[in-house]
Amino acid sequence: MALAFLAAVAGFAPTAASQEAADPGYQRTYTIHADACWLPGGRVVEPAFVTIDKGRIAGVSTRAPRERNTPFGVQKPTILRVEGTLAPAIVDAWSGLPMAGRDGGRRPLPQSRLAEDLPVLVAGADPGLAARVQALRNSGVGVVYLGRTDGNLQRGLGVVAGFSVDNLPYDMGGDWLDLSGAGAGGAAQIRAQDLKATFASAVALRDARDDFDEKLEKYEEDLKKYEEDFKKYLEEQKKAEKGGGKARAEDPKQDAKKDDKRPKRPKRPAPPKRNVAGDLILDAIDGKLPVRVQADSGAVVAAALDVAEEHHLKMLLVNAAGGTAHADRMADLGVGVVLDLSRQLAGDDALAQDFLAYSKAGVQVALGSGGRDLGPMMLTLAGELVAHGVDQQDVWAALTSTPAELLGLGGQAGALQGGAIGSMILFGGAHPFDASGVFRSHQPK
Amino acid sequence: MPPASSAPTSPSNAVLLATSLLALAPALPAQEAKAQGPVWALQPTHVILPDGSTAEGQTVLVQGGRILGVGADLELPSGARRWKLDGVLAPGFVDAFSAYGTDAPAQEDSRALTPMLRAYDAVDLDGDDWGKLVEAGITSAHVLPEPNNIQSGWGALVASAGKDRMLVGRTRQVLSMVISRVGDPAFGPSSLAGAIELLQGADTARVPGVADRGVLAHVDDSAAIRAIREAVGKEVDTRWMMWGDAASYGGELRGQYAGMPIPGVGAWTPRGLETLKRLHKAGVKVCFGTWSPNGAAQPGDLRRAAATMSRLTGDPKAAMAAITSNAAAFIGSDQVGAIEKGRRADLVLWSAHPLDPSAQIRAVLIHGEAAHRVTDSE
Repeated sequence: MALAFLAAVAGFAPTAASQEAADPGYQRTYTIHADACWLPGGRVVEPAFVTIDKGRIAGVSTRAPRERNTPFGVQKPTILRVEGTLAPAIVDAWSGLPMAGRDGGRRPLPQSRLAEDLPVLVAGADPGLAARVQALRNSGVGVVYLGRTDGNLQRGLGVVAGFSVDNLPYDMGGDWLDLSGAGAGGAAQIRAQDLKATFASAVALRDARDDFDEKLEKYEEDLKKYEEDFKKYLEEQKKAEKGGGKARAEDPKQDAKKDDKRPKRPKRPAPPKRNVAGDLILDAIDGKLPVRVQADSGAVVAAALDVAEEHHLKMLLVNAAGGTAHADRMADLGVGVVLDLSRQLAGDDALAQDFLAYSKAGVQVALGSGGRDLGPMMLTLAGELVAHGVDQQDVWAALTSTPAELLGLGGQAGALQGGAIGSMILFGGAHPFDASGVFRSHQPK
Repeated sequence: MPPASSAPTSPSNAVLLATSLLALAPALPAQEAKAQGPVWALQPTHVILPDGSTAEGQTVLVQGGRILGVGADLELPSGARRWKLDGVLAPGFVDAFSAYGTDAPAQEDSRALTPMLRAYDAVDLDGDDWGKLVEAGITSAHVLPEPNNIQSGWGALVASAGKDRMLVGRTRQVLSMVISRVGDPAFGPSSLAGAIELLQGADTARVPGVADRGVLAHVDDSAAIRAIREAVGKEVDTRWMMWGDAASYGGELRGQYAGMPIPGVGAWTPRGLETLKRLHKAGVKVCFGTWSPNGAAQPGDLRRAAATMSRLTGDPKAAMAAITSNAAAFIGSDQVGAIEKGRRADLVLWSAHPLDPSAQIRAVLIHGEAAHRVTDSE
């Protein structure tokens, strides 16, 4: 089931807008020679030669690239020697990176695409944002999910973003339908009801459209029949006039009122009202748009799973606090979860317990910064989960490969492999969480 | 599989040893806990040395709550009991400016100059805070008067647990040039100029104890730094507490000890991070504490801040110093903050390096006595 879900997620058709691939501006080709690197599946390569070409990983090997003979002579590869172990950059599946249009004061329209608010990829386009992105990248983050944080049920369309050479975010993963089930207690019950009602309304909208289509079809048939009948009627009228019968009245309308034999023109059915928000829900139901639901309570988790099951949605639950009772059902439905890493700031083991419960049930677990700017603390907080009993490799996967897969970026991020982005971290400690050794982030040039 | 953590994977042995070791401590007669007590030779897997480096094969000799010596080739005194410990033995963290330990803020609002106020008088030794500090590996805390007066009074260094916890009753005289805190529109001063005038008239250097113990100055700009320097003179040992945008004035503190509040949740800004990085590069000896103008950080945030600093600066030793030896120097104490001869045996046994967030505390010794131990259920 999980594999099927992954395949389905990976196969999401990006929207037309996102198909215009942005050029993040990386130009250089070089090889990084490190002591080791972590590969997908937990394998380690020692030593490691990771070749970067225009911002993407061209290959990973234990041998240095060879010189190449070209028409212009021997081309020597550029090799940068570093000490430490390379690992992929973090994929923050719930970023708090603030940007224009994200929290602009006005509530966003349901159809507003955050991808359209991303800056133009030109150096200096947004220095403040670039500084924040630089800080994030220095903390080891390579990809972020950006969604709006306002409280509407339909928050618009979020976007998965990579970073350009000038530290500006660019769309790399297509749109996500962001739904908010934020809040607890009574608010959560209302949110849960609203969530179900929103999908029910969309289905009703589709039914109304189908009904309209049927009526329109019948109308067109009736209209055709009417035209034929009217033609016959006119011919009969002409014959009657020629035969010395009563001539047509000067006022045809007056005449028609009195003439019971005159066919009646059918009425065109009224189309349903335009509903853009409903259309987006229908896109999700049709599998064209993946759905993220922020579920801050068990009630919203249950409601989200109900609609996911009923409509076969490609869904990702965010936060899902209080939802571990539904973990088995989530696993059955192939619904992954993004846990809020900022909960670890409380210092207790509640987040670790949730992580373990979801993992045990077979739910794919990713970690995100909870819509906050945790950047420099992400690795520390994630490492604390290990202290609370979560397997180190599971935590690492929850920061890299799992969010990449859940966000539809399999192969593009979260792993050191050909085709993936070249953002990496270099650590000198025992593992990436360990701050007792040297830590650096690598950003392609 | 990737290499496993350096954290020992089977802590039971270490816990057993540590627990056994700690079980002895309360049994020691009080008199023996003094200089004539038994000598323990602690031989952990790793020891964090005073310069912040990690060394293998070290022995730490402890007697009567003090460290007798540290080294790889120490000759063990006769009768010394040797304990092999699985884990990293680190100095207890020092909360350089603590938000914890008092039952009420130590402050006096009626006057601008309250040099005789003692933070120690506000300390609640029985409060619940101390247990939380111990569980976070913090073995001593520097309690300060609120910086609401130009001369705010004396700080105090308090051990988080054990006997005779008041380590230093008067650490440094706290001065404040942060006009948002010392300013009073009704009674003055209402401006930095007014505060400087009051400070100059106060003759801080002549306050009893200041010449010996030094001052701790809260500042938020260059003018405040210059005013403090002029008022107290070069002879008085001065430490700095940085407020506001330290990027604009931190360069003036090159080579000196300065406290940096831990930003709150999600409050790390690119400029703040860059400032910390550059202050370190400029040679400012940074230390962290849980007190902040914007509210208290959690005890666990001390270690988190050090981990952030380590990643940011690429200097784990400096990051470790920020919560140990630099913090001790900031306070003016040579009793805490390092594992070296003559200092208190305030020690924490970790399952891995304390800057590794996956490391767990296995035992805490304060003044050589058990303050916290890991039970099987933990």
